[in-house]
Amino acid sequence: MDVCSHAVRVGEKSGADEVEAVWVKDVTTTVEAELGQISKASKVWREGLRIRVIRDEALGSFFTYQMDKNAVKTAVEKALAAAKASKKDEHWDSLPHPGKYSPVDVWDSTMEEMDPRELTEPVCEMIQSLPDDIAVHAALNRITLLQRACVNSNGIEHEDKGTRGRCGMRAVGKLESGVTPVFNEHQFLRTYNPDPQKIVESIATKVNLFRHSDTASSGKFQVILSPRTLEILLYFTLPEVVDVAVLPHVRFRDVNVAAR
Amino acid sequence: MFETLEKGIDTGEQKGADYVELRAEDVVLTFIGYSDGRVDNLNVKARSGVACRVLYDGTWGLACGMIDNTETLVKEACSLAQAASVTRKEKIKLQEIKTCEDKTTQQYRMPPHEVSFEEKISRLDTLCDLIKDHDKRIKAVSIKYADSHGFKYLLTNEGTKITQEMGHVFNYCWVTGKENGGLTAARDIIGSTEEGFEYFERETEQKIAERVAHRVVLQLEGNPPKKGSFPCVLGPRVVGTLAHEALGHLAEADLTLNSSFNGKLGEKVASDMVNMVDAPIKGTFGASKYDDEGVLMQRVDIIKEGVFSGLLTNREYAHKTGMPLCGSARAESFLYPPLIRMRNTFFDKGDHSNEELFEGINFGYYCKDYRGGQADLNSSFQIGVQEAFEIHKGEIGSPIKDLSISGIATEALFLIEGVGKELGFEEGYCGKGQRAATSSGGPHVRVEKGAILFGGRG
Repeated sequence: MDVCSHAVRVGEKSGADEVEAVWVKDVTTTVEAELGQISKASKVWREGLRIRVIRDEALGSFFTYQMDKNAVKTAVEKALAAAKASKKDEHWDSLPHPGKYSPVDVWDSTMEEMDPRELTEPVCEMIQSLPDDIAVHAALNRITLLQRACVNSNGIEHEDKGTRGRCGMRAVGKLESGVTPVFNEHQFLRTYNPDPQKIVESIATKVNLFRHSDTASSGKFQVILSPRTLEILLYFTLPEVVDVAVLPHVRFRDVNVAAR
Repeated sequence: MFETLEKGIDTGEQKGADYVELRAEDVVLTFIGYSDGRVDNLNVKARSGVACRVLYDGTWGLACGMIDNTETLVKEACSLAQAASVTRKEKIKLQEIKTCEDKTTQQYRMPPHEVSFEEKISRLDTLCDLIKDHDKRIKAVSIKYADSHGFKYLLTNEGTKITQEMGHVFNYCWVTGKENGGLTAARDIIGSTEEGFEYFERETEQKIAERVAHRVVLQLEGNPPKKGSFPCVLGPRVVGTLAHEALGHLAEADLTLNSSFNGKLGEKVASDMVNMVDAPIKGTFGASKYDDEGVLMQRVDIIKEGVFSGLLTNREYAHKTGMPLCGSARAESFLYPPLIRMRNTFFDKGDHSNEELFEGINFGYYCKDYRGGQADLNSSFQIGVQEAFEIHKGEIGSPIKDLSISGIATEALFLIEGVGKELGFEEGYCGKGQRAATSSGGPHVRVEKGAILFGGRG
């Protein structure tokens, strides 16, 4: 929060009409397997500061991994330079104002203290449980600790944290000649409770279904879409239409008002 | 920089790591999102950090973070590898390399980081106006511009010490057209990892506008395709998509072992006239002197005269498979480990003229440019085509709209019956878990009926 508050002060002093600083820190630990064996363990610290400034209703933004005072000053200067070069958004309203937010509990403290050895167990279980005629292309178990802080010149000061997990694999079935397509199964978690057996069962079912499948033909047919297939179809079509960031900007304020 | 990294190397060796590799970077990236005459966002990112990778007791450990924490990160990488190595039976070994000390530089005339934001935006204004002025049916123009510049540093306990200056310029257009309730879109992607902003003196706004607007108009005026299988001629960009998506990934050694190319080295996998290559070609997206393991980038003949001949490798898989090193290990940034990635993947040229390729086709399709595509490890592919035409009696006919094609690439390879003389390429990004700049292409290729399925409404 301190680095965000400092960045907002620097931005205001430097001539920005509005300033927003968002600090992010993610620590991700992953254990991965390739070709049926654990191959790699990794830990990635990603920490940075995003500064957005608005000057004369034009926006500029700068992200930096360096957060000492000099780096923050440089980041503000670059964001202001970007805003100066950018064009005025005649429909710009303002950065958000403080409001009442419901707390969301997405922090699992067991992930904070987890030893990498514990992460290897579900991966080993997955690769050992698959039948011989299914080859693991890649399997992984991953946990991420996320922290966020946001301060803006309208008085918002907020910090939050959460945990995220992912356990899953990609596998192919071996055929007499060649292989099946790749099948994926992943569990996305907020609390640490991976179920490796469920992942293995799902992959094995998909591979076996493919082995007994017929060839599709081209044409118009009646189709039943599963929820997942429908979700993917909508994902690649509708969001672009309803995403305010890509709507024609003449409608931007209307959408903003409607959202409130 | 290297002074800090050298302390990390010492720490890794003291902890007992067999191999210590420190990969640092200091890069500034600029991104401009632009649509219909306005700047949606103008973001700049200063990316700096270090990836500490160790091979400890035959298992990889990786820790990534701030350069100032290098020694701590190396210790963490050793601990992680030690914890993970317990279950490993076969220890990972690396192919030996001849280490080197080197420093590479970019030969820009207009370094992208020295061009003002104002000039970059002015170029986008001109481009947008030219696209919209091309045809009144063009309703929306979205452009993404990006560039980067910086340095990558690589130091290993084997003696590799390399500094590579790196950068790129990139331009992506997505243009939407509308007529009588019908909506269509086309895209254009160009970029260079070698040239600076001067690249746009060659790839001018006029050229880009003409290309992408023409595609939109053709889609608006096109007929729906017939469904079924037909003889066809594929343009360089469609051939490149097949080379990359449906075949190139099968030749990445970490994927080959679980793909339909497994065990087929030395076997006939295509008609005699097929030669497929992955190489760092000067001037294309994805090429640099060294990869992220410090290996010189070299050409790989994946398919030579129809025979599956080569694999893309990193040091681990070169040792595992016995195939030569080629410099294909690349990481998106210091936050990722290097993976085996394609660079410039293409079908090599043959000896057919364009006239010969179209000759004798009574009815078929000419698929000139693709919109998007995907493929799987069994080499099945689906490609959306954004510029296509009918072929009637050996001549290019009416434009076709909303065409998608699919097939099994390993089967289609045997049905190639003509390969053109002139190469064409397209730049882009590959997303194999990480983003990597790549390019792909080839000559025009003629394919027999039965190789490709055309999905359509007609």
